[in-house]
Amino acid sequence: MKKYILTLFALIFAFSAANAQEFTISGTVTDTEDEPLAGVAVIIQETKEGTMTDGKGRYTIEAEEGQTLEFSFIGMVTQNVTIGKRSVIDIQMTESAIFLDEAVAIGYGVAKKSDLTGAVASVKAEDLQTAKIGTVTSALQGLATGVHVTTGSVKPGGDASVIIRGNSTFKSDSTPLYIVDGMPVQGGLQDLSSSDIQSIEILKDASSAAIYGSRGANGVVLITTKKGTADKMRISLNASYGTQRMLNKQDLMNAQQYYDLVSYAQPDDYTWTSEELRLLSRGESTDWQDAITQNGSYQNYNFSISGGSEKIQHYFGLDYYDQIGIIKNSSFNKLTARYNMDAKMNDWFRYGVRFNVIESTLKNINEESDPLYGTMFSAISAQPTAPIFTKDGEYFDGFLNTKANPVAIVDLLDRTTLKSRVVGSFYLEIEPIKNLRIRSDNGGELVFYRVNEYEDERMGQHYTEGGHAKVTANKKRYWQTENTVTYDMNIEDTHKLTVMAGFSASRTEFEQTIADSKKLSAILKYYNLGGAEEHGPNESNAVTSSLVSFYGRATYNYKDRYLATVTMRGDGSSRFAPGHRWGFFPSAALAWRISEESFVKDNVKWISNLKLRASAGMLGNQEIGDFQYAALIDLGDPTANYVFGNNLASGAQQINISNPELTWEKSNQYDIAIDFGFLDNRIAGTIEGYYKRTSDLLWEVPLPLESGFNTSLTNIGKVDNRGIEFSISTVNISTRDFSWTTALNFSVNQNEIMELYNGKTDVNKDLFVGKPISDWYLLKNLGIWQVNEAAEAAKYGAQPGDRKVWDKNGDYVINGDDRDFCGQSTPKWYGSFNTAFNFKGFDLSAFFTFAGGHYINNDLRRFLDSYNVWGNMSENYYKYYWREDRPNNRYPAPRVGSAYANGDGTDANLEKGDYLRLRNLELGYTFSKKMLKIMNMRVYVAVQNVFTATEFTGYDVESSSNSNPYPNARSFIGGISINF
Amino acid sequence: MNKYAKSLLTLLIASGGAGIAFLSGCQEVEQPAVPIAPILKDTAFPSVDDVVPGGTATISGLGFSDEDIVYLKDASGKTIQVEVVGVTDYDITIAIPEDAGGEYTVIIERAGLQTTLEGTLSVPLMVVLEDVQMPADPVSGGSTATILGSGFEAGDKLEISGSQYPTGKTFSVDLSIVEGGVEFTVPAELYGVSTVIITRGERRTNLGTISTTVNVGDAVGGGIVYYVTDGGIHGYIVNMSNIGSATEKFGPEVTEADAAGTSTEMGTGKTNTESIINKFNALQSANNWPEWVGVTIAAQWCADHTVADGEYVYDDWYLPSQAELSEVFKVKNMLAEKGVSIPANNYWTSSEAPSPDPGWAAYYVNFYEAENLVTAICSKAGWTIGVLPIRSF
Repeated sequence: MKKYILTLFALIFAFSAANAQEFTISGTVTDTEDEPLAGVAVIIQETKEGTMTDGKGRYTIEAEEGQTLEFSFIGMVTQNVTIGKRSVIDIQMTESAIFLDEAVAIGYGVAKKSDLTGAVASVKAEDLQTAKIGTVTSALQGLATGVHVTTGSVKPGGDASVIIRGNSTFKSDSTPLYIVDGMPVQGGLQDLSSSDIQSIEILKDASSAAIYGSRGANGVVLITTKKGTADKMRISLNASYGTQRMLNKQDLMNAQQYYDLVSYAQPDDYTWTSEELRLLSRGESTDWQDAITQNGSYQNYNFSISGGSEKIQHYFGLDYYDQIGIIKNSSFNKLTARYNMDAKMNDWFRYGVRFNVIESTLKNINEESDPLYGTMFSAISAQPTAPIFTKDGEYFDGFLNTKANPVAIVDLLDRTTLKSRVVGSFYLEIEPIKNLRIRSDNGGELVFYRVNEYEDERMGQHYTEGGHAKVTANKKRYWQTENTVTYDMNIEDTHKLTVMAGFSASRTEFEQTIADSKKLSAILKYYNLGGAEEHGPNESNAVTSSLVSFYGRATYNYKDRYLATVTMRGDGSSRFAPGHRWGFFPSAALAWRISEESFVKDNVKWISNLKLRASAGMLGNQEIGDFQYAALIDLGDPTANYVFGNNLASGAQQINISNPELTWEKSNQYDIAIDFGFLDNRIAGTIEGYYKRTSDLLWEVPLPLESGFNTSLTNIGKVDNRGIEFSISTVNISTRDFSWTTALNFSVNQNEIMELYNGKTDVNKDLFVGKPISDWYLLKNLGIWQVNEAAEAAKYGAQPGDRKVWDKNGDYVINGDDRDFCGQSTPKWYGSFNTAFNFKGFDLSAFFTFAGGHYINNDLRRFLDSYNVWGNMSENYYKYYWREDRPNNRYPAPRVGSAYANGDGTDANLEKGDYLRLRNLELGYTFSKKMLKIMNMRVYVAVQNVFTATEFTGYDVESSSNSNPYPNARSFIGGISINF
Repeated sequence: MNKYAKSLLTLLIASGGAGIAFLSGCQEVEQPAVPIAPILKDTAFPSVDDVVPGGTATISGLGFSDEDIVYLKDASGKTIQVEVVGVTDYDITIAIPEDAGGEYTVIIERAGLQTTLEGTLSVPLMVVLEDVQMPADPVSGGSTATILGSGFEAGDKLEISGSQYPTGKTFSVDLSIVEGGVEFTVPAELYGVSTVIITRGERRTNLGTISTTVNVGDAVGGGIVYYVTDGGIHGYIVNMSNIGSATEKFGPEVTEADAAGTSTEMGTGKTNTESIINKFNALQSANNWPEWVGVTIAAQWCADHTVADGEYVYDDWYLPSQAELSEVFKVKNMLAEKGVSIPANNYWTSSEAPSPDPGWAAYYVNFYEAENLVTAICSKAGWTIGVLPIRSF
């Protein structure tokens, strides 16, 4: 035995001795996307000797076994590898939690992330890729603190809503300003292809957004699209396909349960049709939710080619997106083409173009609108005893409350939105003297938008006999010119000053025509309105608005430690009355990079980055619509018609009172933040607090009726938003083969009305001083009156089984005086959590979003959880409605005429909106270039909306409509991505 | 690609597939429909008058189906399936078998499950014949008459009746089946228009009428025919003698407003008589005139009059109108020969005097006269004269 042990030791020693020899080690260094990294420092820690990787990420070095190789690269987590026997060591490097030298867009310029003084959240292109289905706007969800993205509508082509740092307006639009490559975009980012996006910056505070002055009060979202890279041609092909399954189908009564309940509640009052009785006898039940839904599908194909030389770089992207919705007859497809070019003619002259063409077709049914007649609501409330078709093959049309046959709607309703959009810009930049750049950026946009609608009479009683067609066609033309002068001054790397001044002008022209006809050919539909028997009302309108602005910004950097930014913008908008058209929006910000101070740099090695920053400024909101300050004369309204000489003549009437004092909504914002990075920036994040006071809010103030008008649009009141935002990203593990990263962001916002007008503490019991804009003020539901409470119930005209409502003032009368505050409808807090693992070629990521602290009025419960004479109800209601022999406190007895039974006006249908959603779970594998020679290829499978933990019982906790929603779906996606 | 990567890729695809299968596997399992007995609402049966064996009957209600099988169940429990002729959203129409008759419970069967409708379907007991043609011309008593048609069976009989015969009197006639119909011997006692009903056991069907003519002077209907119309199909019969005493009163003299309201025309005597009696009874009840207590007025005499005919009684006599009694006067000699006794007297008619005198006076006909028709008005109470009842057919 000893012999063997001695022999083994001898062998080990012999091997060790042999390995102590110096030998050549080579390898390739790549990032997690298998892209080679050039310029990575490869150093033997013991000897401090080293080399650099070449343009293909390759290196060669002589080293000994047992020594440690250190691979370091700016923006990447440093890796150490102990040399063993392998002569080939390939390394995959993981990005740091923050890359401080990264250039980010700040509006009319770029800045290094380390030099930022304002609250600018950056979203990387790859982060957007987790949201494969939907728009770029919805993809932003959870990617930045202080940016509350609500999915809103998950219908094909539907967009999300974005509110940055709380709602601060009563009436105006609270949507942020979207700028794509310098061009403003109205109504979200649904036209963009996410594959074309290089980065997104969200300007949240006054300092960063003030450069957009009157349009910046709701925050600014800056999108920069991809550019070509010199000397590096890259071809990318991406294809993905997915299928979608409806989520949260509501459990409704089947036909037999419905018959049973109706026979109990309305034995003599319900008129059955023969079709229903036959269906019941067959033992069948119509599941209307199933009847109008299907498994949706999605496909996205993207091709891009980019490259160029030092002189000129190109990027061309082509993207096709096609989604078939889970509600039948809803779909969206979009083809976009983008060409970006940047050229450098010589040392002082640069130019470039951005050009984007989008063509999209949206087929949608009447989801979300028409709450009591829309497709989904019709399906939910249609009685399950009704057949889809009559025995004669016609659509059944005997629905309660004259609703349409849901299947007829999805079969016959034709509502197609066609959009063609061309947007382009070109810039010229000259540098006549060193560090002085004069740039002129000019662009335009042309949008043709057309909605063709046809409602077939067979859809049912609610729809026009003979059919109804409507064509809405509009055209928008926009142009702008933006001209800036920028001067950079750098005095011995100690004083760095950048001054920018600019002028811009823009003009929007919009015209629209609506043609409406009834009783026309069901074959030609909207293609032959002239053939209709009835015409009108037909409409047309046109409007023009313009904005002229001057702006400037100065940034100062002292030894990379002390940073200051001053911004000023002056906007002149045609939307306000002469004399009130100019607004000036100043801001200032200071930052202190503590980590650059020697007492930190030299003594606290684990601090890689620490910055304290503060800003203050004022922003405006001009999104009030056009000509709101003027007394408008309405021509052609039928109510103003009069008889003149036995003929009907069109009249004119003044429809509002003028307010020449009307002016901007203004936000004064204050922001203080700490940016941090620890342990070689493996841990990085930001803690930020803000305070925003918005004043001069627009509101329709009631007028005495003798004035001739009901209200006047007036600037009134004040609203405060305060919040804290916290984000942290960590690189937990980063080794040669394995990495693990996490990111968390969390935002809290408190919204409070500080002042209304004329000393009022509330307006119509809707807005209250001291409460959030979105506060619920309702009667309080106390459950159900029980048998032993019959005498007390009788005092309220109620009986056991009826809903019990809190008599706040104890006067035995339930009315508006008994209402109380019941929480707010917008989340108090929200955020996301992301974690990703890379192991060899595999990657696995999970992306969670969450929000809470709010209550949602699930108004579907009005119909489902009480006795509903107009349609179907929930299965739970059938099983548990109050009866003497099964009393409960949840579901009122099925008594027609029972007060407050459906919970209207009470908090009975409020549900906690808190949720945690695993929004994306993705597993991928990348075949490296080493395997496939000329390309790398990633294949992946992803599941979206894997689960949602919530107490909310409706279709979707994020839906903008609960009574006629577009149901959310769980998506199963597979894709392939190839890069040459 | 090395083996390691291949196996991991296989694992990736397999795990992805399994995940998808797991996450999408929560599809609802569709439960097969379990039929229940037909649910039918608001059902109502047709009236017995609207149902004919061999015809169709429509049962109204909601929930009937093209697939329905319909059974009729009689009181004895015998159940027959009947044909469904049509179904709408509001009713079902079934064929009633020719041999159906009586009360039936209706059972609707669908998918092997049955629902019994509330109530019963009444089907009349009828003899079902087709293409029936009754004799178009009048038939004579004792002659052979033919009824054309199909569906007759041996043993079928006719039941002949009419309002001109005493109450309850019918003639039962045997039938002989001949080609194209049946023959029967017309009973000798028939006169006027008689209703013909065919009977087969309990079943009865009204086939229509036959007409039998009579002549003036014929002894039928409890008296002697004294006037005919329509070729002898209709006519008037006078009683074999006057009734009451020779000194009866018409009634009290009253104001014009209290006149009974009568006519002098042919064919009005029956209604005149009823009006006079009703009016007198009403006035007497209201006034209780002592002189009229226990007094039988001329019209009442007639209404109370009966003539026996074997076990039956003719009881539809009335006081003739002026025109009707005048026609008796015209043939009084012939009537006398036939045994009618009309003593010389003035006789009341049921026709009141024309305005302004109908309250106190009425017409009489003078039967003292040999040839000349004398008729005039006289005091209803002041005159006491004879009463001669007639009847008509």
